[in-house]
Amino acid sequence: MLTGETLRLFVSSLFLQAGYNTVVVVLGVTALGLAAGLVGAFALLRKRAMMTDVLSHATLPGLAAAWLVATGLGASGRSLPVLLTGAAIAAIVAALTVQWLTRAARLPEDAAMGATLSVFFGLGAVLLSYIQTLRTGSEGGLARFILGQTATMSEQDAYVIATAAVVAIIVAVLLEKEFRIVCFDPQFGAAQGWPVALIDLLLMTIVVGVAVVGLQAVGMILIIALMIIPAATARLWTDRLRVMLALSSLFGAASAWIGASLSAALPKAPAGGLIVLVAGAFFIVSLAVAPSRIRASSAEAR
Amino acid sequence: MLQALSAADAGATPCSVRGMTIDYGNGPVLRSVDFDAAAGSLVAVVGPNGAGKSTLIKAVLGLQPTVAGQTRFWGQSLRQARGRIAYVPQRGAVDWDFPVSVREVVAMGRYRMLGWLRPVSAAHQRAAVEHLDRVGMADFADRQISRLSGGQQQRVFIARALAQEADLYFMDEPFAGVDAATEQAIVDVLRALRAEGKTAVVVHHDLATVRTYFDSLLLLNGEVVASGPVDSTFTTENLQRAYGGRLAFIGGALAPAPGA
Repeated sequence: MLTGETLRLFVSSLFLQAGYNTVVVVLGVTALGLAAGLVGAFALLRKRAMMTDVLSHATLPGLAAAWLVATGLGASGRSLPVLLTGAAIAAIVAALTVQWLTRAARLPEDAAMGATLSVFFGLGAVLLSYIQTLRTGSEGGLARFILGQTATMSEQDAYVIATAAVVAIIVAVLLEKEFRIVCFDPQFGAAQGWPVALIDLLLMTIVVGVAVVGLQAVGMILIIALMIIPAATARLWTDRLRVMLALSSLFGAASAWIGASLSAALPKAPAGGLIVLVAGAFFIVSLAVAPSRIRASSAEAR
Repeated sequence: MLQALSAADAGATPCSVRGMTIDYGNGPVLRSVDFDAAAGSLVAVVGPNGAGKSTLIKAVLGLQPTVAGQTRFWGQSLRQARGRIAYVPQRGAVDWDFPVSVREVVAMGRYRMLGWLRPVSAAHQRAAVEHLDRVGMADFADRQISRLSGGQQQRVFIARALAQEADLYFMDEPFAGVDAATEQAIVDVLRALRAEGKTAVVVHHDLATVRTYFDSLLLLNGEVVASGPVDSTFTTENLQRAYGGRLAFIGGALAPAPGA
C-alpha cells in the first residue's frame, strides 16, 4: 500500500499539485477543518461534546428520508442541498428529543443523549438498508455520509462547505463575547439579562451547520472528532480563549489538509478516518511537547 | 449618603418580594415568602441546609421558575431594573479551568453595558482592573483563573459584581471556604457599598458573624421564620425555630450574641 507512488500522490496533493479535482477537495476539506475547529472549541467549553455527537449521528435518518422523498418525487436522490436539508432537520428533531427527555421525562442528560443517538442512528440504518433494496442505482451515494468520502466532492460541494465555514467564522467572531459568558457562567449571563437559551441555540446552530456540511467529507461518525480533538489540542497550548479559538481552527484546518491529501493518495481508506487520525496525532504530539505550565495549572484546579 | 441614587427612588424599596412560592414538583421548597431589603442595608439570608436560601436569590433574579409571587425593584419589574442589579453566584457554579484571565472574568461584569456584538473596549478593561483593585487583586489581572486560591477566586467574583456598578447586590455564600484576608476584603466591600447607600443581600452560613457584618436578617427554613433588623430578629428563639434540634451544637457559636 505504501508504495513510492502513494507517497508521490500524497506529497503532490499536500502541495496542491495533484490536479484540479484534488485541489478542490483539499481546499474544501481544509475550510471544513477550520470551521470545525472553531465551533468545536465553543462546543467543548460549553460541555456539549456529546451533544455534538448525538446531532451528527441523528443526521442519518434525515439523509435517508430526504433521499426517499426526493426519489419518490422523481428527483435525484443525489442532490446535496436536499440531502443536507434532511440531515439538518433530523439533527434539530434529535436536539428537541434530548431536551424533551431531560425536561419532561426527567431522564439524566447522558441517558437521554445515549438513547436519542442510538434510536436515530438505528432508524437511519434501517431506512438505509431499505433504500439499498430498491436498487435504483443512486443509493450508493448515501453510505458515503457515514464514514466520509472526499473523492466524490465536486467543486460546487466545496463551495457549499466554504460558505458554511465563512458563515460559522463570522458568527463566532461577532458573538465571541456572548458565547464566552454563556460557556463560562450561564447563570451570571442570565442574571445580566442575556438570553442564554437563544445564545445556546445560535451556538448549536452553527455546530449543526458545520457538522452537516462536513458529513460528506468526514462522515457522521467522525465529524465530532474534527470538532473536539483540535479544541482539546489547542487547550494544551494556551489558557486564553482567543488564542485557543485561533489554534483550534489552525489544528482543524491542518488535520483536514493533511488528511485529505492522504485520502487522495489512499482512495480506498475512508477520508474521515484519515483526517481524524492526523488530528489525533497532533493531540498526542502536543500532549508530549506543549508547555507543562498550562497543563499543571489545569490539573491544580481539580 | 444617597446622592448616588436618583431622587425618584429615594423612598422606594430596592427589593420587595411578595408571596413567592417555589416548587420543583415534590412539594414547595419555599412557601409564600414576603421580604423587603431596605436601601443602604446589608441583609444576611440565613437558614439550615436546604432552607431555600440560594433558591430564593435565583428566583428573585429570574433564574429559577416560581409557582407564585412577584418581586419589584424600586417599584419596577426585573426587566426594567436589571441594569442596577449585580450577582455573585456560588464559586463552585463555574469551571475554574476555563481559558480566561482574571481581567477577562471581571470584564464580564461590563457585558450588559456593552450590549450585543460590541467587544470589550480599553476603557472597560481599565474599569475591570480598577474594580479588581478594590478587592486587592489588581496584581493578578493577567493570571489564568485556575491559578488562584479559593479565596482569590471569590474576590474575582466580587470584583466582577462591582464592575456591574449596580445599586443592589445579591451574593450567594461569598464567605464560604475563604481565607481571613478574603473575608476581610469582602467585609470592606460590603461596608463601602453601604456607605454609598447601596444594598446587599448575602446568603451567609456563619452565625457567629451575622451580628458584626449585617444590619438585617432574613431567616429561612422553607418559609420566612423571621425578618427585620438583626438586633430584634437574631434571637435564640428564632434560630431554634429555623434550625430545630440542630441549634444545640451551634449554640457555642452564638455565645457573643446577647440572650444566647
